[in-house]
Amino acid sequence: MSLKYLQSSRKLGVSPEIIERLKSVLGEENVSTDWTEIFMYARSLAWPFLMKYPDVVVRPHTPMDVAQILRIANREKIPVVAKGGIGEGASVPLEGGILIDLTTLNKIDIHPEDKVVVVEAGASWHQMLAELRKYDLTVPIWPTYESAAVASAAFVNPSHGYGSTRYGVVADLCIGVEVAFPNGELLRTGALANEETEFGVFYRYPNGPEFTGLFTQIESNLGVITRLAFKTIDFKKEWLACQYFTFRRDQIDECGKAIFSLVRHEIFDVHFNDRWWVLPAIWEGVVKEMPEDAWFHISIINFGRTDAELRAQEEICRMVMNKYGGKENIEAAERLVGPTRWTPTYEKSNTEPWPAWNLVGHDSWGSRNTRNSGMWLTTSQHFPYRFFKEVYEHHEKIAKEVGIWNERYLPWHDSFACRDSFKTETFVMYNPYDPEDLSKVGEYYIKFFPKIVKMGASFHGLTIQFHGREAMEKLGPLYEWMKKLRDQIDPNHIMNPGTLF
Amino acid sequence: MNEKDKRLLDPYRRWLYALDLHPSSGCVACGNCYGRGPANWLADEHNTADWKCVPFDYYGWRSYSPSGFWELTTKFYHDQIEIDNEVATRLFSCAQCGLCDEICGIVAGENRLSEIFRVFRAIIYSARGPYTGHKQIIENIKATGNIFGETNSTSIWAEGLDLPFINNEKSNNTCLYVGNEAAYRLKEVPRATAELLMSIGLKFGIFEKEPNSGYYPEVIGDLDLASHLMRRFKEEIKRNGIKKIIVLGAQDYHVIKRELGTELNVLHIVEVLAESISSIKNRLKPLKQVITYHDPCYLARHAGSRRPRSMRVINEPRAVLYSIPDVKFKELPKNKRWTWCVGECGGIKEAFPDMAKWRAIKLFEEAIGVGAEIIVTASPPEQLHLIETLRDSSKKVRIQDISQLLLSLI
Repeated sequence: MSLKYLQSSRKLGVSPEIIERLKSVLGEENVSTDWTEIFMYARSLAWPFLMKYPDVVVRPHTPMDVAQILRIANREKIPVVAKGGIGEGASVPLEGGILIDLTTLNKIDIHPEDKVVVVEAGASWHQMLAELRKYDLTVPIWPTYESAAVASAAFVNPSHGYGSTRYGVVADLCIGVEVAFPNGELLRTGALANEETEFGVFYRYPNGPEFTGLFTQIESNLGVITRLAFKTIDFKKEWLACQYFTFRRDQIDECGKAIFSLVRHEIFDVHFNDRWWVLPAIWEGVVKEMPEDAWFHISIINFGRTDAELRAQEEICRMVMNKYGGKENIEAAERLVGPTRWTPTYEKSNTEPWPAWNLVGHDSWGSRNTRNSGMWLTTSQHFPYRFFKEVYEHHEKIAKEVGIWNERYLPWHDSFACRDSFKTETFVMYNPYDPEDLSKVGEYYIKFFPKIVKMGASFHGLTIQFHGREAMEKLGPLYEWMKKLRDQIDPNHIMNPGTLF
Repeated sequence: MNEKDKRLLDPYRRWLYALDLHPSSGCVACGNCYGRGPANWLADEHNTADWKCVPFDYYGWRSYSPSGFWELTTKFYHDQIEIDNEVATRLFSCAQCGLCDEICGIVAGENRLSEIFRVFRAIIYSARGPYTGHKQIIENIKATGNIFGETNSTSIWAEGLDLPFINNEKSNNTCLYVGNEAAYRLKEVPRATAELLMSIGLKFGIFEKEPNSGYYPEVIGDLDLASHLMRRFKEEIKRNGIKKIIVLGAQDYHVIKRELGTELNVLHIVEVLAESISSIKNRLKPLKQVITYHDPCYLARHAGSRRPRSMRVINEPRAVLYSIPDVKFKELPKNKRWTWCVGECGGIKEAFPDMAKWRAIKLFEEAIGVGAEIIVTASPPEQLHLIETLRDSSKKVRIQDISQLLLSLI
C-alpha cells in the first residue's frame, strides 16, 4: 500500500464500532487512526523496507487495559501486535489490526532490599538503568539501542548488550513475567507469582513449575507481556574501565580464539566489530592512531568493584591478547567506547560522555556511521564460537557477491560475545529510496539467511516471514507442540499472526 | 514537489536520503527522540527521560516527534506524500526548541534537524497559507511592523528616560534592541535594562521605530516576509552606522547574530551584563529570596550558531546571578543545554495555546520543586508567556527579567 493511498483512500480494517469500544475503554486520546500515526508505528529500525500498516494504534496505561484490548480483539477476531519503542521485525503488523504501543505502560518499581526491579512492559530499559543507578544497582545487560528500547522487547527477543559476556541475555536475568491473554486473563509467572505474599518478588522458582521462559522468543504469540521482574547487582560507573584491541584480517582464527578465551575468563563485556564499522571514525578524524591493517576490532569493558579487581581484569585481557597477537589501542578505547580507567575527563571535554552508551549522540558510532552511509539493515543471530570464522566469511562472501562489500555500504559486523554463544549482527547501510540499493540489500538477506538457518542459528526477533519457516521447523516436535499450545491459548489466532506459525 | 520547494529543501538533502548525493542519510527510527528514557543513562549531566520534544511530551504520539517530522519531510522530499491537514498539524506543533538537535547526532556540521522542520513549514505555508493562529501575526507585521499590530512607536517604552536615538552621536554607534514584547507588553523590562546600562556608564541609543528582525515570519513559514524584514533590518543598521547591538529577546538575538554576526558586534544583554559585572557587583544588596534561572532555548541551544555545541550563552547569566551577595541560586533540573522549552517559541503559543500553557506550568512546578521564589529569565517573549500563564494558574512564584532583578538590588 503506497503512502499516498494510506493518506487519501485507506479503508479501515477495523469497524467504527470497535474503534469506539476501544476509545470507551482507553479514552479517546489513547486511540488513533490518523494516517500519520499508522505510518509512524509501522516503521522499524532493522527492517525499514518491510512495512505493514496497522488499522488502529492504541495506548494502554495499565496491564488491565492490555487485557481489555485483547478481549475485544479476540471477540472480534482482530489481529493484535504489541510494539515497544523500536521494532526489529517481530512487531510488524503483518495482517494489520490493532497495534498496541506499550511505551505508555512504563512504571518502574525498585525493591533495593531484595535487589529486584519490577517494571511494566513498556518501561524504557535506559530509564530503568538510570533509576537503578540511584540505588547503585543495575541489571547488568545494557542493550546498546536507544532510550526507546523497552523491557518486554528485551526479554522477548531476547536481547543482549554490554555485560552479556558475563551475564548472558536479558531473559537469563528475568525472574518473572505477567502476561495478558486473548481471553482477557492476566497471569503471573516465576517470582511475580509470589507477589501477593509477605516475602513478595524475590526468586524465580516460587514452587511448582516455572513458566517464565515460555514467554521469551514467542513474539507475543501467546499473549502480551505486561510486567517483568529482574534481579540486579551492585553497580557504580566508577567500576568500569575500557580497553580496545585490533587484529589483522589474516588473524581471523587468532581473533576468534582470543574472544572465546575472554568469554571463558568471564570478562564483563567483549564486543566485536570489523574495519567497516570503524571507518567513519577514521574519516571524521575521531581516531587518528589506527593501523591501516587493523581489520578486527575488540572493545572490552571491564567491571571491577575494587581497583585491584579492575586492574587484574585488564591484565587478563592483555595477557590473552598478547597470546593471540592483538594490538592494544588506548585512543580508540577512549574515543569510541569509554574511559580506559575511571577519570572524569569525558565530562570535562566538549564531547558527549560515554560514547558507546549513546547510540545516536553527537559523538557516538550510530550517528557517525549513519551520516556517512545511510539507513540500517541488520541481521541478528546466535551461533557457537567455533563457527566464528565460517559465519564471518559467509557474510563476506554474500556481501561480495551482491556488490556491497565496500565503503558505500559499510557491511560491518557488530557482535556481542555472549556468555553462551556468539551473537553477531551484520549491517548493510543503504539508501531506502534508491531502488538499486533496495534490490541489493534484499538480495543480501535472501542469500544470507538460508545457510545459517540450516546450520541451526538462533535468531533475535525471529519471524518466519523474514527468516524462513525452517528456522522454526528445526525444532521438530516442539514446534508442533507449540502450535497445540497456541490453539489452546489463542484459538482465534489473533496474536501476532504470521510471525511464528 | 515544485521547483521552489525543492530549492528550499536542497541544502538539507544530505539528511533526506537524496539520491544524487552520497553519503546521504536521514532518520533511522532508532527512537531516541521519543523513547521514554534518557539519551544516555550513564551520563550524569542530564536525563532527558521526560522531555524529548514539546509536542511529543504533550500528545505522546510518535507522529508528534522529531522522528515523525523528519520522516514526513523526507517522504515529501521523495514525493511519497501530499501536504494535508495532518502533516501541517504535526509540523506546526514543533516548538523549534532545538532539543532534538541535542538528542540526535545524525545531522551534523552546519545543519540542524530543527531547521529542516522549519523549512518544511515554509513549504506548507506556501501551499496552504498561515497555520491556525498565525494569520493575525502576519497581518499585524505587514500592517505595522510588529506582531501585536500596535501603531505606536516601538520606543514608547522609553518615555521619560531621555535616551538618544541611534542616529544621535551620543549613542556611540551602539543600539539597544528590545523587540516587540518588551516594547509593548513588558515596558518595565527595557526600562530596567536601560537604567542598568546607564548606571554602568554604557553609551547606547535606541531605534525610534525598531525594524522587525523577522523571527516570527521565519518560524511560522512566511520566508518572503522574513527576508524582506531582514533586508530592511540590515539597511537600518547600515544607515545608522551601528557597530554594536545589544538584544533583549533570545529569538531576535538568534536571528540577528546568525545574519549579522560577522558584520557587527551582536550581544545578548546577559553577555553585556557578564562583561560589566565587576562594576555592578559591589553595589548590589543581598538577595533574600531563592532564585532560579531558566535558560531560553535560543540562548542555550540555538544561540545564533548552527553548531550544536558552540556559542551557547549559558555561563554568562550564571556569572551575573552568582555575583549577587548571599545569593541562594538553585538550578532547575533541566538546565543549560538540556533546558525545558516553556512553550513560547515557534508559533505554538498562538497555534497550540493549551500545549504552550502546559509547558509553562510544568516549569513553575519544577521551579517550586527546587524551592525557587523567583524565576529569573533573560528573554522578554518568554517572560511574557510565563506571566500570562501564571495569571491563569494557581502557582506561586515570581517571574523577573535578569536586568529587573539587578536593578532592584542596586
